[in-house]
Amino acid sequence: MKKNRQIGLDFEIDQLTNSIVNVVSGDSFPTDITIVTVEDLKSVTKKNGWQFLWKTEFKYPERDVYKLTIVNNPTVIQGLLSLEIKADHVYMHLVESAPFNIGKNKIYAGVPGNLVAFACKLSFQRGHEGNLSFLSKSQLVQHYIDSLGAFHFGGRVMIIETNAALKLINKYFPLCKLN
Amino acid sequence: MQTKLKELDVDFIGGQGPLTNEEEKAISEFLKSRKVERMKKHLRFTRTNSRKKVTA
Repeated sequence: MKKNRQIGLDFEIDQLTNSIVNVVSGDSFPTDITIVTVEDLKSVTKKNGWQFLWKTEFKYPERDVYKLTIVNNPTVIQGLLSLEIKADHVYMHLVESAPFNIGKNKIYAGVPGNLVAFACKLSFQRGHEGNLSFLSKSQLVQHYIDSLGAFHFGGRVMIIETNAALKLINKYFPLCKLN
Repeated sequence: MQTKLKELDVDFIGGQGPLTNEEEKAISEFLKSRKVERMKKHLRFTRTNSRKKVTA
């Protein structure tokens, strides 16, 4: 039975897992998203298959870098997120899945989505109404519209506004009660 | 109407550097204007609701 929400959104939560899903077994694993440490980043190198320079991201004082891990397994990083709290929204500099979570042979699905939803949640917590922006390559604009409910603001800029942010949070953090 | 999101199928997002000053300003203006629109809508709805019914 559908619940009537005060905000007027009408969508179905198709699975009550917040987590990431093992692609082979279909099992889902609850996740934690926490601030990264220098120690964590020792293994996050191009030599180990990461595409971006996360130690450099970590050095920017205005940016926060978060790691996504499976609960009770904090040393294995499933994905990383670098964001900056702006005056009126959150800007996502970079999201990257771990090398073993990319491409067709990925171990876990749902990593980037989890991280984007977390960034939206953070935006609400900071009083920015879930508003989020990030930059996109032109060939991915439509995919972000379809998968994140993002809005193509123009040029390379994508924006996720309040309603889309709420949808993402409810998809990836279903135990989080939002009105 | 049910709207279901497609599964996000990318290995990374962003990585194209920070926002330019112009982009940041444009985003701020946009968010401000959206907020004003929402407030106007809310006021219209509130005013309509507070009108009393008058029967002839």
